[in-house]
Amino acid sequence: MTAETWLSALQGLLQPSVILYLFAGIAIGTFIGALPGLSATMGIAIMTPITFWLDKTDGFAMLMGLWNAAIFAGGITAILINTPGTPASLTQAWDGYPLYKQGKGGLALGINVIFSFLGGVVSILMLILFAQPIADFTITFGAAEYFMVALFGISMMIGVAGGDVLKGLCMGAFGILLSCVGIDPILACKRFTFDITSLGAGIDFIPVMIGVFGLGEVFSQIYSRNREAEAAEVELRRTNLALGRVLPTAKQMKAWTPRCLIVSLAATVIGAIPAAGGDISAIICWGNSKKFSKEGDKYGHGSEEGLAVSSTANNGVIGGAMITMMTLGLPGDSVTAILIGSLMMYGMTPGYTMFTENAEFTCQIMILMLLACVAFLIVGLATAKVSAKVLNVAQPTVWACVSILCVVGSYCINNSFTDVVIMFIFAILGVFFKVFNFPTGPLVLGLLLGGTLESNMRRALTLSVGDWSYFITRPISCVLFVAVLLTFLWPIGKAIWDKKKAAKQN
Amino acid sequence: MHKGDTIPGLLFALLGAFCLCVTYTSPMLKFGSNTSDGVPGAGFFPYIMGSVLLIFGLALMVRGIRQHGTVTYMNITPEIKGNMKVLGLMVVGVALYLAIWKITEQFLVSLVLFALYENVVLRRGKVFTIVFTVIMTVFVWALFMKGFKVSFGV
Repeated sequence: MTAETWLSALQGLLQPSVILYLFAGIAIGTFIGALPGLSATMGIAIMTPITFWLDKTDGFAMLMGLWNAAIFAGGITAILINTPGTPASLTQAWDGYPLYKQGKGGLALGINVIFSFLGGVVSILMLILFAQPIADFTITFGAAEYFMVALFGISMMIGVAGGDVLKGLCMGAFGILLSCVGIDPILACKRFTFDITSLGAGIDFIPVMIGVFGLGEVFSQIYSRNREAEAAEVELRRTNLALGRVLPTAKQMKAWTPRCLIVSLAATVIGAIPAAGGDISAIICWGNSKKFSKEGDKYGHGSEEGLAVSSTANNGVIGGAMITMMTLGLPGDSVTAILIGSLMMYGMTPGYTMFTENAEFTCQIMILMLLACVAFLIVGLATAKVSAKVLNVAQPTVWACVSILCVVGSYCINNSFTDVVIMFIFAILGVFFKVFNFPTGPLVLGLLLGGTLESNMRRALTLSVGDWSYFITRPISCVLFVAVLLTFLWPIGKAIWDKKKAAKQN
Repeated sequence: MHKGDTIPGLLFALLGAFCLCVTYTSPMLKFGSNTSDGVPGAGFFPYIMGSVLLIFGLALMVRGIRQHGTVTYMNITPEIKGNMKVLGLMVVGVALYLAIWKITEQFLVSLVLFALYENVVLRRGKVFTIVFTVIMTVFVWALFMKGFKVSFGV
């Protein structure tokens, strides 16, 4: 991408509508992130159908603003009521809430905004620096490599994201089978459509996401509602302690910034690993920083540095997740998975072509991410003290709104009632998956990558006239195959190791 | 019934078997293509994934049986019981919403009815229910129907 492309992209963004939608996204994202139970994924899933009716730049401005703001805003509830707004804010509660109780709530909110900004900006700069070289590298990829990349993505989601590997495998296989519904990608004959015309186009990915992460999440929250905990939360909100100053001093900034810069680089790398999201990044970075910091013993008891590290780590994954998404078409987390679906709706396929055929729009996405960071820094600092008011919205109000928006949103994607029915079915399935501890990540990734997996596998076998060794005789494909094997074998090996260790201790 | 992975495993295995049956009985979905040896047909991938799901489902089921139901998922407390009732009513509400919309083709009417219903189920006050219904209906009408020109006729 040349300097001209970047300039032209920037020029395209200097429109009032883009700025308006960016700030609208920031406002919605802050609201969603600050409400416990509403995640960035749910927000993106609900808002994506709405953005299809906008110009693609306006739509992505809104989504980027929402995503960046929702991650940072998850820290607001973590700090003020000890309840992480998003899973990525878990470690922020460990230091943020004790700080609030010490009368430093304002400072904690300020640290959350400033260091989320730092993490976000560094990771996006990494995205800008490394996306093109990685995309250039993928030009050597053939069908075998793309098959292995897709398989690697699914295996990472099953093996790394935690939980039960066997259940993950079942869910992954189920997701891939769902992707088989519709027209065969190579021979163009109908599969599993059962004479239902609307199934001919296959099962759309976005309604499934809205079902699992939107309406399904509402159903799950209704199922697991705990009135005692809700009452305790209300009590905490009433506490209303003095917040104090918001901005850290220059000396404090100087002390925390070098560590946080390292954390943001680490978070970018973690974010680039498929399935490793902000929660994993925050826990790893916070844990390691605690080990190496001089004030490690203060971590978890109201350490300002600990909070700065957590805030940096959860926003730091954003750029990393986008690197794998934009260059390889592999979603780093569930938000980027929806963004892939969104790009596909605009007729773009993540991968090398994003950097050639849609270079200007790719630049615009990266610039929008940077602008979103700047926007949430301004909004976040300006509204730090009033952001606590967002918490006063009752959960049932949110559930009622989300239920309606999920139905309307899933219809709007293709003006299809079948999409609404699919969304509803997956919402019900989503509750069962949650209750029975079945990870939904592999299902979603299986459905998203199933088409890539199948078409490339069949292309590779056609090229090699049915020779399966084709997948391991090509160097990159072979390396990826080993990585896939290791990903599956790692949890099994770890379980055996833990069992032996436990037996020894007994 | 609520213990272990036996039943979910069985369901996955049945789904895998169902896919294999559908693929096997469909004349279009062959394992290999008609053109040359070794080149996969349209049924190739469904055969593989159906078999994979069948095997993993059976493995999950066997594991569930071997665990003798020691893994408990649904610890039904009186509160959860109450929550399940609300959840059931919400699911029925959404189903009715979609049914009314589909049968009458009156999207806004079904939306109003659903908004009223869900607030009653979630035990919100009368005034709140009415205000919420009005605001949500106007919002959907203004943004989607007037703004984005979405036609909700099914």
